[in-house]
This record gives sequence, C-alpha cells and structure tokens, in this order.
Amino acid sequence: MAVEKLDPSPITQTKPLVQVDRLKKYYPIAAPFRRAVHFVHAVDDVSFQIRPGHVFGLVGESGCGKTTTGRVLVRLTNPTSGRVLLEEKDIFRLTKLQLVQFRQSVQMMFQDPYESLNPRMTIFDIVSEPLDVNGIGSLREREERIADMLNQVGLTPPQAFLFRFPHELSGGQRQRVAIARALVTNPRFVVADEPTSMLDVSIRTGIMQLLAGLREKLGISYLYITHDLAVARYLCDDIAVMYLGKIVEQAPAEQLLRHPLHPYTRALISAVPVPDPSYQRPPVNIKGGVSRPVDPPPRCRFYERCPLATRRCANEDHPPLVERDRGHWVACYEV
Amino acid sequence: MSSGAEKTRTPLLMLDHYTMHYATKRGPVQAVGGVTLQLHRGQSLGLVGESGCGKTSVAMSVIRLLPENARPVAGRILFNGIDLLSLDDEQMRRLRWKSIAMVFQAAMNSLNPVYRVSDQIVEAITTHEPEVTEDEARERVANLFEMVGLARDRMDRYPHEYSGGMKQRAVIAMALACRPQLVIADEPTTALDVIVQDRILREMDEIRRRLHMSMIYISHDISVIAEVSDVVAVMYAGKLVEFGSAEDIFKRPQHPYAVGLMAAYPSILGERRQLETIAGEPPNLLDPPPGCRFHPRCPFATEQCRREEPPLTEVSPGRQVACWHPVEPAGRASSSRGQYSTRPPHAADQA
Repeated sequence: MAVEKLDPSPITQTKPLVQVDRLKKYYPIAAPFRRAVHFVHAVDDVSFQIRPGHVFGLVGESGCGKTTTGRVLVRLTNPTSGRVLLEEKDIFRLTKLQLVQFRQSVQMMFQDPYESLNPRMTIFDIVSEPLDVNGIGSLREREERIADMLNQVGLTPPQAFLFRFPHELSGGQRQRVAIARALVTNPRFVVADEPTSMLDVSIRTGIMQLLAGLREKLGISYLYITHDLAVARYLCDDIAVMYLGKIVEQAPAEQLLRHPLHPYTRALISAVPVPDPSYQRPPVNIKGGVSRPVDPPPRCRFYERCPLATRRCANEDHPPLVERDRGHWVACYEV
Repeated sequence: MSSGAEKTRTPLLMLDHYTMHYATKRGPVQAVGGVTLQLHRGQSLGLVGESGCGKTSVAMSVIRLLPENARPVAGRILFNGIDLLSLDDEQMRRLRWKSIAMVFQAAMNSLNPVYRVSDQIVEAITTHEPEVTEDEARERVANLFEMVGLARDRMDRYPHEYSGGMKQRAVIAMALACRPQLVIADEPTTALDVIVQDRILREMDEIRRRLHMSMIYISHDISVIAEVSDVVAVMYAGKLVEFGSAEDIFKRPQHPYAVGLMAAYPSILGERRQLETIAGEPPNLLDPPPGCRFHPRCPFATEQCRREEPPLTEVSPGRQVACWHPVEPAGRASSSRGQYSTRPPHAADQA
C-alpha cells in the first residue's frame, strides 16, 4: 500500500484492551495438485482498538470479513499478516502459560444456539467444560460457580436447569446457556458473532438486555459482530462498517447512524426496513451486488458500485481511513 | 392502501374460524386455533408472530402443502367463495400455482440444481396451462425475468450460477409464472442481506400493484411487514390476536402482545428508546394455557383472562382485537411505548 494508514482509533486516556493492527487474512483458492495463485482477501489491512468495558460493533453484509476478523481475534484462525494485541501482548506470540491465560480471558459466543451446544451433554457439563479444560476450581467450587452463572444469565432457579439437556430448552434458554458458558471463566474480552440473530423478537430483546447488563456489571469488552444495524445501535459504543475486507467507516454508534459519510454506509442504512408503515425510506443509491474479493485491484473496493466514483477512485489505491470528526473515521476520497 | 372500493365485494380469501392440529404421539398440537380473517383483491396481508405461532401453518393450509399429520379440525377457507377444504387433491392441484402460488422460505433450495432455471419455470407453466406451447412459455419466462430484475440471457443457466438474491428473484418469477391471484411469500428475504432485501421487497410490491395481485407476507421481522403490508394480522400461539391496517397495528396496537412486540423491536430511526421485553416464553401448544393463551405473559391479565378465552371482537371498522382488556389508544399519540413501560417489573434491567 502506498498510502500510509492512519491510526483509526479515538484518542483516549485509557489504554486499549484489544488492538488490531493492519490485520490481513487471505484464503488461497487452490486447484487440485496446484499451488494457489488466487486469494480471497477476506480481511485486508484492518486496524481498530477496543477500550476496556466497551462494545465494538463490526457490521456488514455476508462475506465482508466480519466473522473472519472475529475468528482471528480468538485465535480460531491465524492471520496472513498483522498483529492482534490483548493488553499489549501479541496473541500469536504467547508462551504456554500466557496461552492458558488467554484461553480463559477471551471467549466466543456463536450465532446458532441449536448448533453450538453438544446435545449429549447436560447443561451442567456444558457450562463447566471451560472450567474443566482450564483446570479451574474443585468440583464444589465449580458447582457454585455454575449455579451463580446460571442465575446471572436468568436461568433460575439453576437447579431446574443443571441436569437437563439442550433439547429440553427453548432457543432463548439455549442462548443463555451459551452465554453462561462463555462467561464462566471470567473473560475480559468476548467475541459475539450474531448471538441474537436466530432468536425471536421478544426473546432477542431479553438476550440483548442481558448482554448489556453483564457488560455493565462485569466490565467485559465485546467485539459484537452483526449484520443488523438496529441491534448494533442498542449494544455498541462504536460501530465499524466493513465492505469486502476493509473497514470503510467507523464512528460512535449514534454518530454513524445519524451522520453517515461513506456512500456504502449510507446505502446500508437506507436499506434497513423501518417498523413504521408511513415512513418512506430514501431509495438505496448503489449499483450491482457484492462480489467476492478474489485478487481485488488496489483501488477502492467499493468503486464499481459507488455513486460518487471518480477517476481518482479508479486510479489510486483504496483510500485510507481518515478522521473527519472526533472519533469518526471514513475511507473515501469523495466525502 | 389499495382497494378501498373493492372491500364491498366478496374477499378473495377468507378464513372462517379455521382450526388445525398436528397429530403427534403426545397428542394434538393445537397449531391454529379459530383464525378468522379476510384478504381483498390487490391487498397485501402481513402475518406476524414468533416461531411456532401458526403463521406458516395458516399459509400452508391455504395452498394445502401441509405435512401428513396436519388435521384441519374446524372452519372454512374460502377462496373466491369456494371452500378449499372441500376440494379433493386433484382439484386442489389444479388451483395450486395457477391461482395460488408460493415463494418459499428456503428459496435458495427450492430450485432443482440439475435443471436449467428456464426449464423449471417452463415446466411449471406447461403443467398448469397445457394449451401453452413451449416457445410461448419460454417467451413468458423471459418477460418474467425482466419483471423481477434478472437479465433475459440468464434464464438458461443453472441455479448454482446464481447468487442468493438472483435465486430469490428466480423463485419469485416462478411464483408469478401462471399469473396467480394470490401469492404467499413465507420469509421471502430472511436469508438475504439488507440491500438485496430492499430491492426485492420493492420489486415485489411494485409487481403486486401492477398486476393487482393479492399477497400474504409472512415474516418474523415486523419492520419488513410494516413496509409491504396494507393489513396486518398478529398471531400468538395459534390465535389471531389482532387484525387491522398496518398503520393502526404499528402506531396504535391494542393487544398487549402486539404492544409488546412493537416495544421490543429496535429501530435505527428516531430516539434511541429503551427496548422492552415480554417476560416468559410462548406456551407449549400440546397443552396451551386455559383462557387467553397470552395470559401467563400478559401484564394486564385478570381472573377473567385466566378462565375465559377472549373472542376476536371488532373494536372499530376493519379492526379486530382478541383481548378482554385492550390497551386504550387514547392519549398515547404516536407512541405506544410509554404506557407499556410503566408496569412490567421484569423489564427494566437495561442500563
């Protein structure tokens, strides 16, 4: 990249808990028995910071790289290049002991509560597994911890749930079990990948309130991955919008929704249906559909669909993220 | 709002106390309980409710694509005045697709992967309209493709060559192939990204108006329903709890469940208000609660609600509510939320 990337994080007094620095993740497209010559640029030079106790929302359409970013942050997959620092330690250069600590302090929540819980395990076994794996506490202590955790996620009384199986619970209750499992090791940082998108409205609100409440009470930071801007608005302090592997805009949640700058963010916001029959949404002003970022040209990823595109956009590299307002970063030459 | 003038005529579709159970080993699941509603020509109806509330069962009953163990127990489904429940399978087969078509929830998977998309739609046309020649049918497919925003030259491709949004458009084209009077769309855009969803919903709405078709949209996403529906039916645990114009249901809901549903839904517009939860979970329909099925979760429930089932009652023209204590719309202006948020003791834990 010819253009030097600026630091896309707000100036703060507190040190960031998580610092993502020029992260790239390329997936090879390999023909059988051949060396891969084409690459999907799933995450392409992404930087951001998450402050302690904050919720950082990563929003975008399917295939934009938001889930891949989340998976790298919990070490489910290795980056092609770039660094991820948790409390100033590079999570891909940890000693054995540090790795054990990392596994306890970082957890992940998944989208589908029907797929993410082992159907043959009881709720007690599911929630205690992270403790077993990490060798935390005696059986007695674990029992107390698990009962406490089930209370906190609203599965009360815990005795009524401990020895049941996932199939005996509703979707909302299962997601509460998954949350208890993620939080039982007292993590400081949680990657939540669409944990409410499979749930019904009335149940979903309960889970959103639970996540918000636990964050207040336990001081956990989240990377909250979602395609739903309305959900992000309620849970996130900052929202970053991804498009084909790039963060194109980042701002405090209300700021982003009220004063979007990037043409993609604007299109995304105007495409969200509104629960008000008399409201006329503005037309969505972009062309075409999302392509796959296979060996993308160096120019702006949004160029083909952009209503503002100019010759400069075609000829120069993907625009750098520039701070336009306090904490409001945008990657576009034309706004 | 489409058809003010036509409401005096017989409705295109009328459900009259329609009740349907699923037979299971553990007893009948009371999936649809006495649903009564009307849909006029050119109108779009939004069916909302959460998983298991019976909205898909209602739709599948209309087009009669129910699983083996479904048992219509009572009531009538009148389509153009004909009781669909009295038709035999062959009569129903002739009606299906020709008069009532469907866009399925898993549209991604409702195309056969080993046939060209054009062949699949041509087959649908020639099966139901044997007088149409193959060439005429192909020409019709090409026109349908243009109507749903697909390039004509794509029609001879295979489904795997389509993106998710394109498959959805192809499935909509297939539903329109025989110019049906009624199209049922079951979560037509749930699997799609918002920008694609926006285009497809706008196109479907445009086509409906142009062809003067009726539509039933089924979705758990009430914001989608708000945008595409003339009238809205809110279902809870197999019961129709509120029916009215989209404007009324969204701005002045009266059933406590409808009020709760609106208050639980986040919007990207307006003030960032507190979201409300509805305490508890929907009941097991093997053994639904006596009286009003919503009473265990209802903040207004009284002894009467626990004992007696509230009938669906017309509260104003075109507006029906099944509740002993409907939420009064007076004094709430455009916000339905204030009143609801004054009570529930369980809902206020958001920071």
